[in-house]
Amino acid sequence: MTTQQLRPIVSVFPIKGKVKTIKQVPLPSVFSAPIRPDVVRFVHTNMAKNNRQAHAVSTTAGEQTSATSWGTGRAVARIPRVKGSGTGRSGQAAFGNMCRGGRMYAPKKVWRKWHRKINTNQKRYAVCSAIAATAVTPLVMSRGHRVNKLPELPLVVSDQLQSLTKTRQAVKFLKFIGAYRDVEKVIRTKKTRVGQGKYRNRRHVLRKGPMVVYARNLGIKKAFRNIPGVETASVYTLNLLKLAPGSQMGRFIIWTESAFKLLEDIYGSWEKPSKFKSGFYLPRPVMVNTDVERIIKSDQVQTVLRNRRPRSRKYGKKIQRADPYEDMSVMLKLNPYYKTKLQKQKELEEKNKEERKEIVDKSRKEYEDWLYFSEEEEEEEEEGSDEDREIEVLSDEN
Amino acid sequence: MIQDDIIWSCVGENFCCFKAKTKLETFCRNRYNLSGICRRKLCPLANSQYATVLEHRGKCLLYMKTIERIHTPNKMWEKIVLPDKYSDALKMIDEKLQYFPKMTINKAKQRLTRIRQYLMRMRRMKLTVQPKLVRVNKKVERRERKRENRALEVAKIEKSINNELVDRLKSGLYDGFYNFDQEEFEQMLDKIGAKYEEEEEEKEKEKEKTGGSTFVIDEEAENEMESWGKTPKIWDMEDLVDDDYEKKMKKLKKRKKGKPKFEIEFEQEVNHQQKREKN
Repeated sequence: MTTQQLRPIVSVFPIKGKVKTIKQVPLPSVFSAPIRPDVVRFVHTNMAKNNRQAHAVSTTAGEQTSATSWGTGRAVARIPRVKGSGTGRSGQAAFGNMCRGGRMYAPKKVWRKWHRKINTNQKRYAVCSAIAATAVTPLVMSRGHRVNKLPELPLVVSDQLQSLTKTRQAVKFLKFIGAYRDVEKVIRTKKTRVGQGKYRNRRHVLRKGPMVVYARNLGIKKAFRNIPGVETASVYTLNLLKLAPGSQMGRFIIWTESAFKLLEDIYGSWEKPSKFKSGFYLPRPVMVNTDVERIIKSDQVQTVLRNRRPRSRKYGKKIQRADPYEDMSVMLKLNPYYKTKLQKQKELEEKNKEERKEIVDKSRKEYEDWLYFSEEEEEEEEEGSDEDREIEVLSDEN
Repeated sequence: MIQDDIIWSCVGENFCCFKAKTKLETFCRNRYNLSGICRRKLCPLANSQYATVLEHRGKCLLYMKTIERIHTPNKMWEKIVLPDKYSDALKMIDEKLQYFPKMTINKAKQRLTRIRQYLMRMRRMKLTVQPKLVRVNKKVERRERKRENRALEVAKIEKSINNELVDRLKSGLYDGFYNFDQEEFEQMLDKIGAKYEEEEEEKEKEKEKTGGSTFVIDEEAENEMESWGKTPKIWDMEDLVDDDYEKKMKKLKKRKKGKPKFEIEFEQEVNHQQKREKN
């Protein structure tokens, strides 16, 4: 249906020996289902609420007093107070959420809606999306799985895996196929839980490692049970909470051949309905070809578009313009009146030349006069100064 | 190509394990990112056609990724060794990334330049001696300092030095160094010894007289006794020596406690160990 048919054929690998394709299997249609992070998030957040256990505060908590308000006129707050005397408790405030030993605000009730109903189709949509995301290498990498050394994604392995019984064999297989790096990551990052869960029987926190999906359990479940981070699941019951942990799509899944083939029957395609989910067809994508850039740049679109409008220069590149004050031709292009303006200026200048000359001469003369005059003055002053002073002194004494 | 936008909508806007957000910038910790920043065109996950330049043991390698190989992760990246010569390397990048977007080519070249620069710097640094930075462990420093001080106090260095010097003086080490005459010095010592002996004799006499009770001898009395007891010698220094000696003794008595004293003891048998224990 979609152009997202990534690889029509997928290789099947053995569980030991050499990492070589022993068989090739067609890719089920589920892997071409639309990848919708929004649908997955919605379904995941609601589904995650379904394993909650009811908890509440005791119904009588904080209410087991016969406290009454003292009313007004006693110079105390009007909150109900404990009756009686002879004990420290008497006269203390009770009942309010602000009071010490009072009931909480809106005490929790057991009849809170703990679980959420989700439309079946939505649930299936999410699961299909999550499975499709499993085959997209970048999404699996972005979730944090160490898949650099894998021979192929989606990783399909021969059915012999289902008959494994020993954990040792399982580990050996994981190392052989290149999936053990993910398990190592889990082992390395095992930590004590942050918070109070650590003393509520949830002491350790582990990452999610690879998930092994089988068609028939012939010992595989027990073989992989004790390996940290590794989960097993049957194809018939794939859980979204495990396919997209934390509503993050792209879990690293190892499929067995028969499980892989069964996916076509379990989820159907766009033409054929599912054999196990009555009336269920694979969800249709809103957009078949999601490469928007390619579409816009394609010939079919470009030929039909109108011409581009000139861009506003405001945020564009700075254009190197010629300086009008350097180049007269540019100036005249911009302002043709400039020429006449200059001419007029020139005429004015010449007109005023004579006037200016007079003014300039006059001012110059004045300056010179002042200069010479001041020199003479100084000389006179020097000659007569002593005498004057003496006279003054005499006068003061007198 | 087809899925790139979907991947970006899952990864770029939501969670990606390689994303490192800071207040100003979002970084990409992916090894293959051209310029550690998380952006649509630079994301190695959201671009099926991508190339990087990485360095391994001094050699620059061009890594290329195409859509065809995305589903075989262990063969996804094609590695090409770039030539050692810078211009040749640039040419090779141009050649290999011919059909890649321009941004990729430019960034790859920039990255190559930067790598080469830091490699040069590394080589240069290896030739010089780099200072080794060592942590300052506050606790350890504090502890060691205290222990040093304690050890200093216990060692009593000044006292032991003093003792050592006195021993050396007595042993005759400094015979050649000091300017006073050895004979004179010894004579002086003898005199002091004699004086003490006289004092002791007189003590005994007095004891006999008084029947055991002791009297304190005045300094004046001492002087008189000295003048009686001794026969005047021709040697001039004698009288002066005595006077000086008394003065010195007075001075010594006036000295403060902390200062080291030069005590001359009159015991004939000199036992170093005993003295050290006493001090």
